[in-house]
Amino acid sequence: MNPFHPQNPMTRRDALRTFANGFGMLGLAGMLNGEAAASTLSTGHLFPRAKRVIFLFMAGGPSHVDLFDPKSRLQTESGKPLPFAMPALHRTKTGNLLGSPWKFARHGESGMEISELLPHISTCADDLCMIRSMVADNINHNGACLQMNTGEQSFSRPSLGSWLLYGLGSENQNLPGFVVLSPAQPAQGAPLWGSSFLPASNQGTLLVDLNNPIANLGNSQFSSKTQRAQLDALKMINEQHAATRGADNRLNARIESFELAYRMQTEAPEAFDIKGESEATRNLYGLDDPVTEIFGKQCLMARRLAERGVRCTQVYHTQTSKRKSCQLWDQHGGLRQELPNNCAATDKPIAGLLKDLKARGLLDDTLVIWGGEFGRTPTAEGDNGREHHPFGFTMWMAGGGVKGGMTYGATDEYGWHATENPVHVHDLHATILHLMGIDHEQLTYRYSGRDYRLTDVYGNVVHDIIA
Amino acid sequence: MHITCQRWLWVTFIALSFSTVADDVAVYELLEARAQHWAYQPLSPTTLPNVNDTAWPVTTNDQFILHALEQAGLQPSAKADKPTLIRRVTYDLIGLPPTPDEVDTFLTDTRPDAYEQLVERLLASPHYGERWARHWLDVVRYTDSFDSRASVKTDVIEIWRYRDWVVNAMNFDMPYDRFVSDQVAGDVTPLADGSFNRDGLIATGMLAIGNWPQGDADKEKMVADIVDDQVDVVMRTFLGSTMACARCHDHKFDPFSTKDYYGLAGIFYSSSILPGPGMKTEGSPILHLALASEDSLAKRTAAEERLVTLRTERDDLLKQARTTFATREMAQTDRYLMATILEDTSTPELNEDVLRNWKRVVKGEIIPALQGVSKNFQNFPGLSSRQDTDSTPSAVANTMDTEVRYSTILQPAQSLVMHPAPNEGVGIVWRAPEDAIVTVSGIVKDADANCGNGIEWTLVHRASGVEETIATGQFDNGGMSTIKVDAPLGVNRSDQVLLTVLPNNDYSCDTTQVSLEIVSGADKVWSIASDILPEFAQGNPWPDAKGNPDVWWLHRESGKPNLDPNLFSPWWTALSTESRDIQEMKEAAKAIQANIDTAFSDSTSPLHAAVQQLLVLNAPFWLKSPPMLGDSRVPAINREIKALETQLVNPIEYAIGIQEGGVPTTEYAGIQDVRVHKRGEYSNLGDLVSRQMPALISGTSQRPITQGSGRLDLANWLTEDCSDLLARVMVNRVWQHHFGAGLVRTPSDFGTQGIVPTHPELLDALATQFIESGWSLKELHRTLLNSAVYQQSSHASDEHLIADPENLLLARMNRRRLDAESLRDSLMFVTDRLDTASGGPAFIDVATPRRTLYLRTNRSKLNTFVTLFDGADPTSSIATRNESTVAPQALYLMNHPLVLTAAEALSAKVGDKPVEEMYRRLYSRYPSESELAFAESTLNKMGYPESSEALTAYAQILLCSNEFYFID
Repeated sequence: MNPFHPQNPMTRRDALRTFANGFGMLGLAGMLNGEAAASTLSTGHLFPRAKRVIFLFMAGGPSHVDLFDPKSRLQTESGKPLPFAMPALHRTKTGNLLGSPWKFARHGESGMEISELLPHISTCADDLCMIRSMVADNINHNGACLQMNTGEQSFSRPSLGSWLLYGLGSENQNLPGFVVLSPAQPAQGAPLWGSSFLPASNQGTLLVDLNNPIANLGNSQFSSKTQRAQLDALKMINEQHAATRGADNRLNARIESFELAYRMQTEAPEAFDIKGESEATRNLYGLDDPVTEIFGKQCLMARRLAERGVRCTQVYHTQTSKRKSCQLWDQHGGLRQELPNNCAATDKPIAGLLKDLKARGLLDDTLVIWGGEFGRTPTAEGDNGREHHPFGFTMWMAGGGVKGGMTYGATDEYGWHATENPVHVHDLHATILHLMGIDHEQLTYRYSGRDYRLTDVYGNVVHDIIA
Repeated sequence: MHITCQRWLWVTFIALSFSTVADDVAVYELLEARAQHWAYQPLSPTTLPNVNDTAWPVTTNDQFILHALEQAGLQPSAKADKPTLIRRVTYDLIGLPPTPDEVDTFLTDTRPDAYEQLVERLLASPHYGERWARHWLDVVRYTDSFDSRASVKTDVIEIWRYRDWVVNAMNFDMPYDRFVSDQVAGDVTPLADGSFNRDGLIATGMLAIGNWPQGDADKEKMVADIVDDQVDVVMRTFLGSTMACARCHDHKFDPFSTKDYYGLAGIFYSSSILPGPGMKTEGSPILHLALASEDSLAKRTAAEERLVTLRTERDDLLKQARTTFATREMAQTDRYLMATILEDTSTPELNEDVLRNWKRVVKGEIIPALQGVSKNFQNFPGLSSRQDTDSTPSAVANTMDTEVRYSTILQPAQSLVMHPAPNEGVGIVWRAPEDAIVTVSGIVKDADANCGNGIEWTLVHRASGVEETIATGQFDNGGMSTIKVDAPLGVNRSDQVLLTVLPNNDYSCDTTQVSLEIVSGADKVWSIASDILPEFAQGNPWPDAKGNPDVWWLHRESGKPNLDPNLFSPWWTALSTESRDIQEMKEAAKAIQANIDTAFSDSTSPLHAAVQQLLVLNAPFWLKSPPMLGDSRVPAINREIKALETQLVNPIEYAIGIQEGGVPTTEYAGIQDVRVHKRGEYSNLGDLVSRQMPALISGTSQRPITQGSGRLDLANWLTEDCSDLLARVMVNRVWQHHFGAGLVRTPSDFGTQGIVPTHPELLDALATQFIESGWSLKELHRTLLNSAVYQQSSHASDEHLIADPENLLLARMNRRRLDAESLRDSLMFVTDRLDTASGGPAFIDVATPRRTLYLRTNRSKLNTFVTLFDGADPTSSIATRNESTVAPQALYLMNHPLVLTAAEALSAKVGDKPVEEMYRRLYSRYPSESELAFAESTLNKMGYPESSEALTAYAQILLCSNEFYFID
């Protein structure tokens, strides 16, 4: 607060200068004034159904027709040509229809159909809200990953997580408000969690090394006693410096940041330390099996972060016990071998996460999202693969205010086009923001003469799936 | 705000509006209002305002500032003290702090123009360009690399030449209009003397580094996105105008129509930064433009062809001579064999060189290859390369703990890579220092997955002339082999184990990582990693850890003669008997000679091939310079070859930039106008629009573009028709970097959505001066820095804070922070560790002590340090950097090795008055009595002077302090 202007509301610039921020930045409060006036949100304009998001990202494009969207005509006409013209936009020409090599069965009270490749997730069917009519616009990984994460296929824009962090702030000043867990770099890399023109503190913090997640928390040279003495002296020197320089909140903010940093050194490592988890919990996530261990660890960390108020956690599946890749789910070939491997690596950890969140009462206000940048063609690439397919594919959500056991939208008889209740990526984004209590048309940021938003000039909230 | 409504402008604008916009009265009104927007008006003539305090202003800009202050009833602040001034202006101009000596010199300089002289010294420093280039690079979304995984073909690795061009342009004070023009059309701007415009081509790099979707399968959309980026970067950077909205619809706020947009877009559709659209499934290749005129390229090609002819001719002649010589000498193989053990005194004398070769063969002597060493290979301090006079084969050692990427190669930390020659393998030899039973293991791995077509290798055991291949392997590009020898290998002292990388098909990209480990018993280990890498540049041959000499050496395949055991076994048998009976040896030699004589002319003999092997490369008889060349033409040919090689010694350099003509092999190849893309979609086309400049400034009846794409017209339009706006925008950018905020606080948006100038008359006066000075940036710096307003104290009085909290009126100087570059550079500079070398390819490791300007930026893998300290995001145009204060910054300063190393270096530099010296280096001033006392008590608490780390701990405190981080 500007002590000389108590009658005026604090400008955003003042606020930025006043508070030393932990990993978080100003939330809603900071948006009410000043430069962000164009983006004013009325307080409590929407009732938030979820407080945080965990986005499980299957990088590469998981095959909807083999996992969540069974099509009887695809099976019966397998080997025959697709009976209608493929869209003009394609990467490589695919061949005839390829029936799924796997069986589907109905699960839960809802009777939701899920592939035999996902036996654990199947047990959570009644918590899933399955969207079988997703539509995206780009047929290459880079553009499609960008769109799924930022709404824009080409240019630099803030990511979903950074918009959430910008709009809502962080609940935990000692942890990053937006965390990305990915053992390998997904297609396109940093722009997927970048903050673009939003203040840099809203960007995702990438954690690659699951065993040593946050940088610079330890000192290789000085004991903590010496470090404490250093900080005490630093504070004295800085305060004396500030005392002779009139009021400048930036000086105070920086003094404060060192104290906060010192506290974080003890608190942040605890958040990532899964040693203390019970054996039952560890097994629930599959940490006892090398096949599920890596993604299990990622999911378990995501739960610990959710518990500690991290606003958005993105979990990229980019490594199995066998290989590390930016596009693990990209089965142009090797469908019959690699898809089961990917499912085996992720099925139990994901089910474990859903069950664990539920048992801890966290699922109600945690929105879990599963998906990739697109699906895969019902037609065959070679004899054991499928091409990229953004025209109709499946994603699901769970918890956080969505209807469990619901199947929404549909593709045509072959799983090609989304025909019933299509949900575009912009609609998904609008819905996610809505569930988090934000009107997607109101959350804007003024940059180079224009008010930008996550959904650009598009997006409709899918009210039908909200509980 | 001043508005000088220009009637002509309005008329032309309405004329345009008529043709493109619905006839709606409200729209006209809106358009009229827009056309009167201040930024699009001509510069107003400078009229100096009156001021009461006539003593304060030093320069004309002071008069404008003071006038506004007096209007608001405010007084300017006192002048800053000299230590503050020198620190401020030094950081401002070169991005580094002044040295203690420079401060002392300034403090004792009593000349009335001491400060002006200081400014001159800094403006003349080569670091000035480095500092100010960075400001420019922020705006033009500069990046050193698109994607950490891209190949040379699809990445812009050569773009550092553009960065260096900007640095040089700043240093040489290139007139700003020329600076602008070159970036838009330098490739088509002829030089006065008609020579090739190398720098002009490099300057167009700005147009090639947009953040467009490179891997997009929708190549039509990709081309449209590239054009969009180019229209945007030109309009935004130079004119502070955002035009991108008009791609899809008439601009909502600013006076640009879709027709304006596609008029400009046609210019860029008629230019290209790609050699073609590329495969749908891959990232598009980027144009790599040869930095040479067509004429010199043609000459070069001719010289290269001539060189090939000459070499073939020479090689044929030499081969003839060598074969004749070898055939003659082969007839006395027995004499040579015997001479290796017993001096031969008979006549005719044996050829010395041939005899030496035979001695080496018989004794199993080492013949090390790759004797040349270059350190600091590819500008990496931890890389050393070895080669002979020819460029291949070669070997490179990386002794750093980080992987490095150079060219298309990714070399892991602590590794050795080797590269074969066209017809010759390269390898590493281990010679057993003792009799032993060993196991051999290792890997062979492609270090250049981006090109080439696979690797082939062999592992051979060589024992007194007998060779046995114990393992071989072959794998595809990007692959690797694990060397595994199943059974333990018995070796006698001096036996050799050779690992060779063979030239495989097109050898050109076969940079191959090799590791080899040889273990005997429980505790004897020889390995490339431990025996060779640490001494790579010093040794060859290298000893082992025990000090046995000549255990390892690099080898060329050509160093190994192929002596067929079937032919030579009698000799080896006789040689290995303990008695070494001379008579037996003689008989063995004679028998071999007899076999040679018969088998040589008898092509059916089983030994014929073995004998032929004695007449080829690598045979002891095969000499580089046989004494039989007589009056051959070889010396003359060699002279010509030498001359051509000298002429061609420097490889062609390439730049990233733009060329005339749309993307080849697409519908846009060549020069053409384009149609409006309705709603921005290429599949939804509207009217054809002639290539032209926005009507707002140039009206609707323009001269048609007749030459090339029209980029030259565009460059002229920017610097001539738009000169007023061009000058305003740049003056404001410079102002921002000196004062902490621009007169227009949205430096890349001078449109109706931007913020209006705080001092419009001042902005116009400065812009007018800027143009009149011949667009000299250095003159502009002088004007700003020598002013009284710049030299004010940054101490904010309560009165100022209440009246003007945002400091819009500049009654005080703004306190600023070190930006990411200045912070990192200072950490190294204040400890005398900064390597001030300039230019060249970017470095990767943040610990490399070079200026941060040269630290590689990569769009897919952002640099942690730069991002954390609010450096520019390389994916978008940054006019003003964010300023964040977050705990991870503090964590970095408290714990990162970069800072700990600086603290240690600082404590080691400061001599017997450590506190005083640190204050001088970091704060540009001496400590006060009370500060000294506080320092002493702090040091004592931390164990000084007994504890050696106390001083380091104290140094780190000061490096973390606000006084170091902020500039008053």
